[in-house]
Amino acid sequence: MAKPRIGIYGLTGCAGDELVLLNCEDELLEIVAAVDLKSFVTAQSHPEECELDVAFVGGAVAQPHDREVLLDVRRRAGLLIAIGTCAVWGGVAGAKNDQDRAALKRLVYREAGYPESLPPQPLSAYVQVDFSLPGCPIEKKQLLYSLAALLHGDLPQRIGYPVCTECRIAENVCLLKERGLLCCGPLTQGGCGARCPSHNRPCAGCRGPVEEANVAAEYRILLEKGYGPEEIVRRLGTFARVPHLVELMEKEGKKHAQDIA
Amino acid sequence: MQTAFLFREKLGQFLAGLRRVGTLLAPQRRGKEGHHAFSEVEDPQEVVLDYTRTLLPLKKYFLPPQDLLFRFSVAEGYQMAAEGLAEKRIVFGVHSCDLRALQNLDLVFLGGYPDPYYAARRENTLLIGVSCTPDELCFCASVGADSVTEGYDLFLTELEDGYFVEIGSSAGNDLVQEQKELFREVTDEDVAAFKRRFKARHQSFRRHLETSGLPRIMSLEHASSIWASRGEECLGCGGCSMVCPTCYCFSVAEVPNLDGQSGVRYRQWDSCLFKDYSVVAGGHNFRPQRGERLRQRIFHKHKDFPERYGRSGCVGCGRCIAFCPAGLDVTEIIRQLRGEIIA
Repeated sequence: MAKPRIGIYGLTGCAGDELVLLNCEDELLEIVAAVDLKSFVTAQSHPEECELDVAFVGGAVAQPHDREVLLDVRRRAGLLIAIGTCAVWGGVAGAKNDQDRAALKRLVYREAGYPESLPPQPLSAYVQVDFSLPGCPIEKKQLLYSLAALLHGDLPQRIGYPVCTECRIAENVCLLKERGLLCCGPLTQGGCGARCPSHNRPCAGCRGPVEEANVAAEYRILLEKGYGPEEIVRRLGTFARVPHLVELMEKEGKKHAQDIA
Repeated sequence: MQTAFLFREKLGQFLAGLRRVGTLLAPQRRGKEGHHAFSEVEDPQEVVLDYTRTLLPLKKYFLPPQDLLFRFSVAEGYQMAAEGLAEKRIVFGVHSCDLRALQNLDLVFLGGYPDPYYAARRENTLLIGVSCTPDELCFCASVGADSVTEGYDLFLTELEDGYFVEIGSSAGNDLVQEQKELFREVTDEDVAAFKRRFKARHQSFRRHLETSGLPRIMSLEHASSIWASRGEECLGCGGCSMVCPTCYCFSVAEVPNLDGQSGVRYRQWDSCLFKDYSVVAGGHNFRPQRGERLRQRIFHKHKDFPERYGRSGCVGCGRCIAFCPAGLDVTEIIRQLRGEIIA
């Protein structure tokens, strides 16, 4: 059987997710032996842009050029896999998408200008995404597992549980319940092994929302712990400002205000 | 019932002796401000006997969070994983509720179709119980788990100057005989002190769960709006299932290797609180709402398990209450179902 043709692309972002692949030192030789790596500009001088079996795309769509690259890759790729929270959720760059774009541009670039900026969006805002690996950056373990699953002819399994699940298994103190910290663990997709809470730092939500995250319940818990509405929305939306989740929080905020009035 | 008395000052020596028999696992504090957790004992001084509850129960030693089942490869077919199954272990300092919970797991994993992994670990592990002092979350007495008469090798009840030791098996008796210089015979005064201690403990429970007719009441309240409203509070984090000593659901997954030729299959803890849990092929979900999933968990403990096995599926350890980030309390939900409180 021919080796699968792979392309790895980065749109607007820090390339951290591509670096995670390069950091798999122990497995790199096995990976390049198993796939036909066509395009990976982070690591390769002469990419070949052709039909692909699988494309991995990191970064958010934040400029017209990103959109062109993405549409082109989508047309050429059998499977398109979003890697990293920017590609999956829009990421930190999209945290201010609720604000006026022109004003933001003026604030950042002044008279120099930067005309080609779009509100940063996840890949799924433009194309069909076949599988998502969230994380800022992605987890090495999940990346290797996903690659191996694809080599076996399977789509990888999605993670349907939040950070809390792994945090309980690690027998950590609950930073939300027992320390009253603003921890995004209950709302955030697991798979990191509760990396931050295991070091006594609340989850920052870098992996984006877990399926059916109960945003309203967490919002209410945090209000009751004394956090202000703006801070909660900002912290819960740092890595994934998902409009309908923000709406849920605002709705819950109004309900809560009525309850105490 | 065979008994013995262990001198208080000899406890450390006894534990050191147990380490010669096998890997010694006991409650210890995780860090300065951490929870108590069962973990391997390096220094007997670190063992904590007056803990209230560990975060994870004993199931982690018999049904590990991630459990390798077998390896597969095109060249060699299937090979059952056997790592650690033959390891001789002693779990020291187990409370009655956790011993009782293990009996529930035995019914499931050693019943009709014995699970070879669970069975091997169970076979090679000795259990030493210890008496406890209930806190405001404990309700084991309501579900018959405050006292066990079987399912342990030794059970220690703390008295003033030492431990009243009940011997529950011949393996337990061997542990005493091997270090018999640390023990003396039980006196009438010890028995009287044991009974006083038992009575005082029994009277100290502050939380009660009324279980009479509970399966019938739950059937009647299957469609109650309580489930939807409690489901709105539930964060769906599955934490209650992880910390529950009688939750045993797992999912099975393959982790393939990069060679495209081989891999492993393992099982890992799962929870009926997760939306994925009740999805079947074709995408249908039997329990799409969080409230339905919360109901499933409580139904299984208090209706389905008792109807099938004739005993409560809950041992009243209080962990799900202690560790729920949303503050849900199963005893409160059941009182609500019974119509005793209006929320």
